[in-house]
Parts: sequence; C-alpha cells; structure tokens
Amino acid sequence: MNCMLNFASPTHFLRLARVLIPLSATLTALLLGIGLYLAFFVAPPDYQQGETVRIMYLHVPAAWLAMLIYLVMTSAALGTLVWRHPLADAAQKAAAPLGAGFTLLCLGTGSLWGKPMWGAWWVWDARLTSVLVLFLIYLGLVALWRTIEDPGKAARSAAIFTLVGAVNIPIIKFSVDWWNTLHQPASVFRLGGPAIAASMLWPLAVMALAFTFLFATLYLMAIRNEILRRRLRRLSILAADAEERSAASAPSAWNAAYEP
Amino acid sequence: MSHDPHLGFVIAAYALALAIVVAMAVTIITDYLNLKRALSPFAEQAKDQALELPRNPDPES
Repeated sequence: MNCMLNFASPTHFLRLARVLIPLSATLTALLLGIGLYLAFFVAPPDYQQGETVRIMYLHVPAAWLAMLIYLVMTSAALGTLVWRHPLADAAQKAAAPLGAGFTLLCLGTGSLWGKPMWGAWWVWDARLTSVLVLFLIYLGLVALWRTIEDPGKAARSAAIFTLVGAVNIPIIKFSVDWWNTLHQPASVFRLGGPAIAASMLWPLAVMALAFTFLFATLYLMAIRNEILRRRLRRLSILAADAEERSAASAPSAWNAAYEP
Repeated sequence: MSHDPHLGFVIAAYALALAIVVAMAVTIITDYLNLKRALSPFAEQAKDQALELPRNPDPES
C-alpha cells in the first residue's frame, strides 16, 4: 500500500502521464475509427427502429462512462478522506467536469433517440430522472470546488458529497427493474447474457472501449492540469511571501542607513 | 440509409457528441497551455538559480 502511495506521487504521475497520454490518445483515435466504421457500415439497421439504432453506439457508451466516472470519483473520495493522498483529491476534482460532459452526452443522445421512438424528447421515467440527478450532482460538485476557497476544505466537502451521491448509482442501474419504466431494461449486462445480436454487440463493445480510452486520455490530461495548478498556487504563495519579507526588511535597512 | 425518415436525429446525435468531446478537449488543452505559461517564470527562475549554484556552492563563504 505504501509503495502504491509513493508510486502515485504527483512527480511520478507527471512522468508517467508524459508517456501514457500520447499512447492513450493514439489508441482512442484508432478505436474510434474502427468503432465508427463498424457502427455505420457493418452493423445492420434495426428491424423496428431502422437507422435510429445507430444512436445506441454513442448513447450506451456515454451512459456507461457517466456511471464509471462516478465510481472512479467515489474511490478517489475515499482516498481523500481515509489516506489523505494529495493525488486522490486532484483525481476527484479532474473527473467531475468529464463526468458532467459524458452525462450530458448521454442525456442529449437519449433525448434525440427518444423523440422518434417514443414520440417525446423527455419523460419523467425513473431511469431518465436518476441520470438527470447524476448530472446535477456532477454540476454541484464542480460548483462546490469553485465556491470554497480553501483547497483542503473544498476537497473534504466534495469527498463527503461524492460519497453521499454514490447512492444514486445503484438506483440508476436497477431503476429499470425496480420501477415500471418506458426505458428498456438492461440488454448487455444481464443474467441471461446479452440480448442484442452479435452484429450490433461488437460495434457497441468497440465504441465502449473507444469511449473508455477517450475518457482515460482526457482524465490523465485533466489530472496533470490539477497538479500544475497546485504547483502554481504553491509557488505563487512562496513568491508573494518572499516579496513581502524583502519589502518588510527594506524600510528597516533604509532607516538604519539614515540613522544618526 | 439516406431514405430513413429519422436520419436527422442520428446526424444530430453524432454532431452533439462531437461538440461535447471537442469542448472538453479544448477546455483541458487551453487550461494546460495557460498553466504552462503561468509557470514559465518560476521555471526560468529555478533554472537561473541552478546555474548560479555551481559558481558559489557555499553561500556561507
């Protein structure tokens, strides 16, 4: 554990990020290229939904990521509160805007899929409402970090808020089983195995992997920014402190020089 | 594909995805460039101090 904590030091992270970011970005571009080709030219149109089913290759990976990012934030929140690791707070803070982005993507594509299939842009269905709550939690967390000036207090408050908000994740996952919803039940991760045809499942899996690598790339870059922001804050405080000390010592030297 | 009556919704979904992903990437890259610019005076200062050290290794002397 100690070794892991040392490995996750900000300096080590920056060194590792320099190698991992280009690698992850290349993999993202490659997988997105393959995934989009499979989604548009290999996967067949649905017998009921027609071409509209192609929205699934964006909507489902975005929905998975919206929940995965929150789980990442929850583990980072534990890292902040239990081990007080400096990188855990940076990791949590960097994930929130990305989580909001992917949740917005999920809600937007869901709405664009819902209008032609259900005849409505939005319904107050349990799945849709719980994902909207997740989006609001992400926005609340971003606002919390921006409102509280003291970084330590902001980190602890955000970590507690994140842990409380984690209760929404099982609600999102099981909402389609617990309530009678317009949204369809799980068709990939379910007890009897995937319910969709392999010709649609493979493009979906590749797109999900591409989105995961896209998140990994953006996430590494965002954590690097957080570390640099903290470094800048620390250096600015030190510089201001040094300036203040030299300003305080200057008048006394001046006075000493002119004393009779 | 082009005869599907709902093709506009598919195009709109992919355009929305592109817009959100590009917005996230641009925000992160701009933030990185701004931070690098703000940190550069400190890096130069550290470099100057490192160059000065070998000339006068013992500040007490």
